[in-house]
Amino acid sequence: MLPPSAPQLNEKGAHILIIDDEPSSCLLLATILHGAGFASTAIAHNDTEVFAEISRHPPDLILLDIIMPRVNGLEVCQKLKKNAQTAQIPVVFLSALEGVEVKTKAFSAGGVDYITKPYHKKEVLARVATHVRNSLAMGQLAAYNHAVGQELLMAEAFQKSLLPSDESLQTYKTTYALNLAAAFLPCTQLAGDHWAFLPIDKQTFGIFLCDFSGHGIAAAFEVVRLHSLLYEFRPFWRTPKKLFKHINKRLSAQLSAASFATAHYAVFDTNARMVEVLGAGAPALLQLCPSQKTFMFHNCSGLPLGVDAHKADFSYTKTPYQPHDIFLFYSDALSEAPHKAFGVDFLAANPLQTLLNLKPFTADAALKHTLSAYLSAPSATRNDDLTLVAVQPLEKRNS
Amino acid sequence: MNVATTPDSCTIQLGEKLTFDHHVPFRAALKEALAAKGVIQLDCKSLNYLDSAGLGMLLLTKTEAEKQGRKVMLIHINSKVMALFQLVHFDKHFNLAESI
Repeated sequence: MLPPSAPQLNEKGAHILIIDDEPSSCLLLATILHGAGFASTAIAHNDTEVFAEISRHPPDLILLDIIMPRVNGLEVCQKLKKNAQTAQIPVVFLSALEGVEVKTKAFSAGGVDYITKPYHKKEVLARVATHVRNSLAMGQLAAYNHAVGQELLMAEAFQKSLLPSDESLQTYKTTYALNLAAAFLPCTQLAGDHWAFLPIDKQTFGIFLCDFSGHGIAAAFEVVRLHSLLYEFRPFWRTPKKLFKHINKRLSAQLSAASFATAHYAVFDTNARMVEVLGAGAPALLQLCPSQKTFMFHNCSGLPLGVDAHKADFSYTKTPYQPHDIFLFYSDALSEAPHKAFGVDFLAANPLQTLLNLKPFTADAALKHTLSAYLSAPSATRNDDLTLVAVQPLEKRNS
Repeated sequence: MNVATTPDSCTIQLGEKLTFDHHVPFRAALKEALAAKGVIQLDCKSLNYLDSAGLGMLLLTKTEAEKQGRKVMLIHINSKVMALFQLVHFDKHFNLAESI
C-alpha cells in the first residue's frame, strides 16, 4: 500500500559530504553544520577520496570546492553527474572565485548553487537547508514513483492473468474448429482493456471485448469488476442484449459519473454460421471475407456500459458468415484519431485489401500483420492499451 | 480552460484535446461553472480529439449539472468529434449543436 500522505522530511538527519583540499576549510564547514544540528557529515580532500566516501555512505548533499590540485571541483562534479549512481546528488560549489564565467561553468557542470568564500555562516546554513530539503523531497518523490510503478506492474500482471490462457485458447480452437489469435499490449500508464472467450455450448461461443475509460490502477480494478460480472451473468451469454442489459444496470449503479466501458460482444453459432454482434460505443467489428474478396464493418455504436441504467441503447446485427472469414476485434487504440494525425489509418481500404490478400489467409497472419503495422507507426500514437483478437471459423468436420 | 459567465449561462472553452491529461484543469473549470448559474455550455470550437477519459468528463458535467437542475449543451462541434459522439450515442444523450 502507498502511504496516504508523504512522511515529514528529516532535514537534520541528512548526510552531507564536504570536499575541499584544505583541511581547515573542511573543519570550519563541518563545525558550522554540526552547530546547526546537521549531525552527519563526511570529508574528502581529493577526487579519489570522494568516490570512496560516496560508496561508503551516499550523501544527500555535496559541498564542493572548485580549486583543488590534480582534479578540480568542476571535473569532480562532471564525473558525479555522468555516473547514474551519483547523478542525482545535488552539488553546491564553494569558491573564492567570483567571476560570472566560473559561476556559469559551475552550473554547466551540474551544480545547483554557488557559495562564495569567505563563508557567511547564516548564508551557508540557509542554502544547505534549502538544498537538503529539495534533495530529500526528490528522493521521496523518486521512491514514490518507483512504488507507483511497481503497483502498476502488479496491476498489469493481474489484468493479464484474467485473459484467456494459451491452453484454454488451444482447447477452444479444437472444440469450435477455429483459427484464433490474440494480443494485448498495455500502455505505460495501464488502461482498461479486457477481452474474454465465452464458451456457451458445443457449437456456440462468444467473444467479448471492452475498454474502460481512464487509466491506471483504477481502470485495472474496473476490469476485474467487469470480469466478475461476466461470470455472474453467465446464463445470459447466449443472449447478448440481455447480457449487456444486466451488466449495464450493474455498472451504472457502481461506477462513478465519469466512468464507463465501451464494449462489443459477438456470439458465433458455428452450426448455423451466423454471428450476432452487439455494440456499446465500441469500434466497428471487422469481417474479412476472402471468398468474395471483400470486407465489412459491423456497427458497434451505442451508449457505453455504465452510463445510464435505464437506457439499453446498443447496436445489434445478425449476419451470416462463411468458413475462413476472419473477424478482427480491436480496441480503439487501433482506430482512434492520433494515428490519423500521423497519416496512418490501419482500417482504410488499402491496408484491408492487403489483409485480404495475405497468404496464408489465417487469423494468426492477419493479427501479426496488423500488429506489425501498429508497432511500426510513430510511437507517439501509442498512448492506450491495444487489444486485438482475430477469430476465423473453419469448416466443421461433423457439422 | 477559460470559463465565461453571463447571468443565464456559463461557457467552458475546451482546448484542442480533452484527454486523461486534462482532467485537472477541466475539473477546475467545471467547479467554476457549477458555482455559476444557468445552462452550462461546453464550447467545442477548438476540440479535435477526445479519449475515453474526455468523454467521461462530459458525462460528469451532465451528472453534476442535473443535480442542480441545470442543462448542459455542447456547441460548435466539428464533424470529427461528432462522429465520435455518434459512435457512443452521445448525440442522443446530450444536447448538441454542430458547428455552422
